[in-house]
Amino acid sequence: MEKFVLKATNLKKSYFHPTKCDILNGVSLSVNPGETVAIMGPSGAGKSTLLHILGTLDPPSSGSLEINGIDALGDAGAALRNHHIGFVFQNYNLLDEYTVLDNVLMPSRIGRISGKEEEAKRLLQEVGLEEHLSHFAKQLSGGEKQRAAIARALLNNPSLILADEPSGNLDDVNSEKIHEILISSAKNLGKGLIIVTHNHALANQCDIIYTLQSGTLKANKAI
Amino acid sequence: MSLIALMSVGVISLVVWLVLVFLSVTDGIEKNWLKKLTSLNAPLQITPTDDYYRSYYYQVDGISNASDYQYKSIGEKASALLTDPYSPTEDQAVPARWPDILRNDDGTPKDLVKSAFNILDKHALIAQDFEVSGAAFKLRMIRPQGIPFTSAQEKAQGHLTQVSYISSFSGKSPRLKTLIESPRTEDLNHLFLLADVSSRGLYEDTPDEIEHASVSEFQSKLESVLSNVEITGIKTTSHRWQSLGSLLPEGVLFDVYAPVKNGAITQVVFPLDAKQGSGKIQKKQGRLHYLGKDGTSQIVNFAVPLFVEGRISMEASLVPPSLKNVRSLNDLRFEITAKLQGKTLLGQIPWDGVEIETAKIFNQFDAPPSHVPPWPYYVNDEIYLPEADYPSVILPKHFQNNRVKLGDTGYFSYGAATSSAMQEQRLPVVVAGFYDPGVMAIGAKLILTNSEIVHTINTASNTFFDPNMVNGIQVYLNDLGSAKDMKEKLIAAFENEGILKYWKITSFHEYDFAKDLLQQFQSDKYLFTLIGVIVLIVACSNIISLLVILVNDKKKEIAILSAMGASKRSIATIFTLCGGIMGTLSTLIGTGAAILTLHNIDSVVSFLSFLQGHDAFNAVFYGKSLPNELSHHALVFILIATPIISLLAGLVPAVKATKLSPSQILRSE
Repeated sequence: MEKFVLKATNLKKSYFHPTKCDILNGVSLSVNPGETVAIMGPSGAGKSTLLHILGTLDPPSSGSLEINGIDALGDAGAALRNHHIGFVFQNYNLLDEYTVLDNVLMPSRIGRISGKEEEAKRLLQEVGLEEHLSHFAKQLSGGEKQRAAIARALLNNPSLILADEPSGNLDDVNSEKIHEILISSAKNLGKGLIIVTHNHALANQCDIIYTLQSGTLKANKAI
Repeated sequence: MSLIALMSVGVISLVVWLVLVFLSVTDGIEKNWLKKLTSLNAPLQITPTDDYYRSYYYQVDGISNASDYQYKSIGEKASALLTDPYSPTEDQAVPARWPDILRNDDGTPKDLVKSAFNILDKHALIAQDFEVSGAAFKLRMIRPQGIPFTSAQEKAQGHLTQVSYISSFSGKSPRLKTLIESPRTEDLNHLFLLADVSSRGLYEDTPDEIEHASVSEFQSKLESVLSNVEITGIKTTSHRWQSLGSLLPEGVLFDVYAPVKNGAITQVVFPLDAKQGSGKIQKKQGRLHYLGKDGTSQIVNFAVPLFVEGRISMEASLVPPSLKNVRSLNDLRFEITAKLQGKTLLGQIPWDGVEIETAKIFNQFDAPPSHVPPWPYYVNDEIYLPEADYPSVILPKHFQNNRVKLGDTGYFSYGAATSSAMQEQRLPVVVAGFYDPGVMAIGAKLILTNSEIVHTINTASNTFFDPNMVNGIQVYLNDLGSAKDMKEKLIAAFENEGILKYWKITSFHEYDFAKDLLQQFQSDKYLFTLIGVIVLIVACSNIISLLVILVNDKKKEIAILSAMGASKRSIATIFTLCGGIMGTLSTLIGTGAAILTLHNIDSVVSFLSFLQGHDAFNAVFYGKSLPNELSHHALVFILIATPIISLLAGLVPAVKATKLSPSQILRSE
């Protein structure tokens, strides 16, 4: 049996304020280790909602979700996010009052995993931030912040990386750098990668491209 | 944010400080009052019931020759040789209506008083019988007229009369010690002043003149004081001080004013500090030479009066006198060191124109002293009254306001029934000290003296009081808290002995004069604690507001941590701990400040009094100074209540933090 990093079945999400509004209308999706998936679609289609549901930040109205074979809609929530999921957000979401190294180490601290300093430094070296270890997050540029965020997402060696418009706020040069780091990390480390993006160049680097429309996913072949 | 946090910590610290100081002071005041209530009246009292007074045991003394046909007090019963003094051959027949004699198992008569004392002994309790009586108290107050301790001084006398309660003095009371005041310097001076006054004529209503004491009486009075005091400082009693002449050092110049009349100096006035006068004086070969500013000079006659502009205090020690040669105070000499105009005066002076300013008073002895002081003294923790020519009395300190002093003499006047009429009897007494009666209703009128006097008055005028109230046994406890338990134990033991119906055992909670006060204290304590809790809750609500603001401010961070796997519990813990830490920090700061304040409570009170323009706390109610001990009860209350309330206050925002939706926050960012 094939081992999925993520397996979502018939996910639905509706909001009831002020009237019922179906955002997701039966989304099914599976991601294998080392597989990169891009989800595209018009603004407001529910891409971020889907990503948050896949990342257990938001519960679905119905459907099932397994991450690494674990039922992600049960009690596992926070621990699952800590050990199995790495998030990369469009606006980086670093803790400004902490240094770059502390930011990267935060997932290990939350999970009470010790001895991750070397790993964190290595990751920061890989994303080219070895000079900025002791800088505060707020002192970094946008591209640097996003690279630090990727290092943070990778620290606890998660099997799934969820990226929400990772280069949405960056210039082309920085965007490309980020794309390369994300894709190569997923491929080299055998992690499942789901990217929500409007960026065709990035989407085209992924193995599969889905378009979210009317609450359902339609698969496009990778070009 | 940090400013608001600081303000919250400040507000809670302030409340902690306030509550601690307030509760400590009220707790201390309560303890003081309780001490006063239970030092004159022991925490437990055992009083005879009507059954006791109707019993054969009590009544039999009235018909027995062996008892002089006199009823006995409890003290007398306790020391009586015979339990049953009745002799069928000598005494009249026992009335038929009398109850039967109570007997022990072996057939011997049961001694109700001794049995009671035996039980108290078995429980290792300190107990003493007490008796209360009443009489008119008349004091003869001899006071100096003119300048004390000089040849210009005379003595005048006045009288003070007050109807008083008289209670037997319980030397065994462990707390009485804290109530009896040490003699004051003015008391010491008064004792010396009275040393040459005879105590004769004391019984007379208005003795015409003050009789001088005989030499032996004077010397024995002097010895009694001088053996128990070490004089360390004296001061002049008036501006005129003739002894100064002998003290001036040779060859040293002093500034003086010296008016000249008919070419001769009439007086010499020394300013206390060096300042330009009319000239200078210098001692040469024992004579005083005056050098006027105008260049004149002359020798000052020995008879010229010497004055000092103000009174001089000096270190002094008494030259050990040979008492048999001392016939007046002038025969006593002091070795003194003093300063005048910055120059040292050294030498010996007689007791003339000076009075005692400081002295060490001895009243603690390991063995009975050979010369008993004229004030109460302690031998191995038991207090004794001096026994001089007359019995001593200890007066409530209110008498000091009427300028009564140690050594004043007087008498108790009471009516005794004779065969024909009521006749006035007088018992002479001498004032040996003062005590603080605290808050007792009759405190201002309760005079303590030895039990014989009280019993004598009671026997003579036995209708004066309800007999149940005037005689009994005081039982002292070290721990007031155990009074109720001990009472129950004693009741059981008395019951077991078969004598319970003859005795009523009461703890201080039930004393008429104390009951209301104690209940009030209890209600006050609850009320103050309740107010404390409410104020603390209000102060700690600050934490809620602060942390709610903090949660709103840190929404994004909470969502980020949540995305990285922080559980709701750990996020809630952060905010709850925030509250707890703020509470704990405030408790520490507030407690520190409270300890500091209590340590300097006198300065605080002085400041408050200064602001008000009169005493902030009346000494009658609050004692000489406010209690300055941190109350353990208040400390425990604060140490537990503040962190708990703060933690609870932290819970509210903590719950709010867990209700945040990270997804929504991250999307809206």
